[in-house]
Amino acid sequence: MTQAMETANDIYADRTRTARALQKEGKKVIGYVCPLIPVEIIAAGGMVPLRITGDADKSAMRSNEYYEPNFCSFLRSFFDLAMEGHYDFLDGLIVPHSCDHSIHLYNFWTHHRKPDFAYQLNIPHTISGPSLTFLEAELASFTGNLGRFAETDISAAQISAAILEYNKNRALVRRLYDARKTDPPKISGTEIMKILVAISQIPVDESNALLEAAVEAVEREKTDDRKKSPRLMIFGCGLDNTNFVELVENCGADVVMDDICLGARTHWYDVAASGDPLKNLAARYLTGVKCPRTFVERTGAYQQDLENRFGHVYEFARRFDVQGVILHVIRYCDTFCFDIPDISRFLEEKGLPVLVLEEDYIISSVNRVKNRIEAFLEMVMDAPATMEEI
Amino acid sequence: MNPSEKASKTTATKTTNVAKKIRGVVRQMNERAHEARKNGEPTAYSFVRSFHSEILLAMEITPIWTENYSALCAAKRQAEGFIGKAEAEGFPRHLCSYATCGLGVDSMRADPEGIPPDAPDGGMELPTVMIGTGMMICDPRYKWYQASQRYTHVPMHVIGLLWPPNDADVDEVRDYYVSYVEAELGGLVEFLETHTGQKMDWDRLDEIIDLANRTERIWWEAYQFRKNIPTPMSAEDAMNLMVPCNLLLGTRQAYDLGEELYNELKERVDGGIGVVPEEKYRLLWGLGLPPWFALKVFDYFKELGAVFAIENIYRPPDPVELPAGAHPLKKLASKFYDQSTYWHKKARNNCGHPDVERLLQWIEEFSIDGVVMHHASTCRTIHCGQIDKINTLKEHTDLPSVILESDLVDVSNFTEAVFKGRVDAFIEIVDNYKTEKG
Repeated sequence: MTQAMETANDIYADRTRTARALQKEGKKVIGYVCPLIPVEIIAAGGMVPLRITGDADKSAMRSNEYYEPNFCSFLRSFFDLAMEGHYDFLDGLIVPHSCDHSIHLYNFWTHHRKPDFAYQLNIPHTISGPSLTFLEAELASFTGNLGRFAETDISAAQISAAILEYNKNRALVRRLYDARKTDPPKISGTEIMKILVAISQIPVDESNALLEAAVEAVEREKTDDRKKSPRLMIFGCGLDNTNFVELVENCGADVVMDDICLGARTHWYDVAASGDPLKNLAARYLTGVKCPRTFVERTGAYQQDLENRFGHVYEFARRFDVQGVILHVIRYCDTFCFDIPDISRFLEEKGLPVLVLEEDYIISSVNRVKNRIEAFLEMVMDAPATMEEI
Repeated sequence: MNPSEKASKTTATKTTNVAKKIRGVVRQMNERAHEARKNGEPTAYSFVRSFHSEILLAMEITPIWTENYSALCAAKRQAEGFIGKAEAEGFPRHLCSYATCGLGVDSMRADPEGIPPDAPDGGMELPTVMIGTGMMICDPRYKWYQASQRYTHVPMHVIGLLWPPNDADVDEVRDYYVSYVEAELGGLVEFLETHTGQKMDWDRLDEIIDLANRTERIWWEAYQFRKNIPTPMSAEDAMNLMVPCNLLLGTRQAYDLGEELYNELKERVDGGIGVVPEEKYRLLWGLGLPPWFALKVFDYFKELGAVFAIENIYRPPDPVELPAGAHPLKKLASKFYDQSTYWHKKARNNCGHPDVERLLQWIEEFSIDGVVMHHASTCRTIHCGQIDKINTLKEHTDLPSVILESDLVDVSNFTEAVFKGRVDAFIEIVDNYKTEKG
């Protein structure tokens, strides 16, 4: 195991340790949810953005006192940890309006835990000129409020500098992902998941250092003696732990690409570096976070609409030579669930086998899921072996 | 549709003469959609309270109220076939059952067999365009129609209707929220002009907005009569009266029905005429869409001497002032913002949650003895968080409360006996509470 992987493992096992240590040195730590939060603004104010994660090994019992059973089990886990005091150390909380569930989460968390600073960032569902103007105004309001809380002026120059740091971070993640393009891949999906979680818990400069070390080590890897396995991609939302990816890889597959909230959906698209930083952030977070919660207006016929909405998923599959796609959808995640028939059809018509797994955040029946993955792998192995053949 | 699936009577007995007219009004609306289709006139799939019915009226575009059609299918016990069809198409059954029923209709229409001939009111027409909304009120309001495009293949537009979070300073952020909604409504007008060929008549729109505002006011005033003991009208009437008050908003018919209701309720109050012979318990329908497939459960409350004096769903909105002399779209945007944030300030200074804040006020104003919520399992938006709202309510009042469970359109997890059993138990608690309080 490389030093970088050891560091990632350590952070993965005790996620908030670094942030808590920095807080003791006087830094403010701001918890946030979802890829829709422009972390650049938090970092520009000298604060540490910390992505809220759940605990997939622990049933969310406390939240049953507050939430009905049909509430998103991913966010339920966040709230459960919050109610147990796990996140009480945070100086602030930012939750975007990403979906109906996120509005509930914000209301409940702020009502019951009363963080010193709280902000619900309102993100439009539509991509339009007015939506961009609105989001720019909303980001200005957010920046002002956050600055007042931190007793600092968050300047445009500071935000621009943070944008550069995060673009570097994204580029490093993409380089790390490139190591999955070889067959077999130079890094497993499970290892990638650990690194993704780790870098979401530490300041961007430390994150960049960890990624640089990881990329350097992984790029040196030789894979000649490793067995080739079916190459899969995971499309979904609520994955912030290794449980599911590990299960898939233990079934005999390589997870070589993802389109999940913590992965490509967070890291794939850069923020424009020149010009007005808030305008650039508005454009990137409205159009560059490819989530079903953001409506893409139909242009052309139905097939064109599917291309507009899911073309990037197919492009990922093509570039990473994926042989099959698992749609891992959290039950009751409405924005994803409405898309299941469309994205399945789109990918299948492109020749990619698709497995739809609608699951809770905590895998309720490992054997059942394992059986379905194994059956899917058989199907994938019978399908054309490479994207070229497809 | 299998005739055996149809139930006999699922609806409740209405008290007011106006409510008794509503089934006919719905039939007329659906007939109008069929007629428009036949004549080649433009129609639009729309959602209730999306702040653009005035725009459709001004542009002479016939709305097709898709949620209402699903509710009608539920009331007729004919939704199951449509929901099953959507499920077979790959849509999870737990999705909003308004949506799965509607998707089933759209999917069947696209099949060679078409919509079954015995579908309620002759089925739901294929629209010219579909209009979704973002944030207002829920995610299915844009995801449903987006998913439906695979069957309808008609142009779709989503309007961003955003309101600020519960803890926002609503004065501080007002300008950019209102400007946004105004611009988004402008985008809708452009979209409609492009895809329907209709032109906006701005003067007409202004008149319609004014009439709509007066309509909401008279309906709101009529509902104020329900503060009287005995109350002249209960929730089962209100669940029907939402049709003119919301779906016909901006028409003369909606105003006239409001005026008629106002006069009828005044007359009942003046005559001391209640909903039941002896009004023992006054309840608040705290939150939740009703089980459209079994509105007759409201009759069971009445059998026990319980009436709903007010409900936190589909009621006429709290009256707000429109900015005089402003552009019509600015008026609509302001109305949206002011209605959406009506309880924000009060809530910030008290219980923290606008929905609970209004319940607390109504409990006082309407002399409430108990709070009933209904949890519809396929809805996440207004039906998640009911437990927490009840808990918050309990921090401020010791009134008894209950959450009943079923759904809005999907009858599959509804058991009448269980439902009634919970009502029995709750009414007993309310009775004890009243006795203890003297």
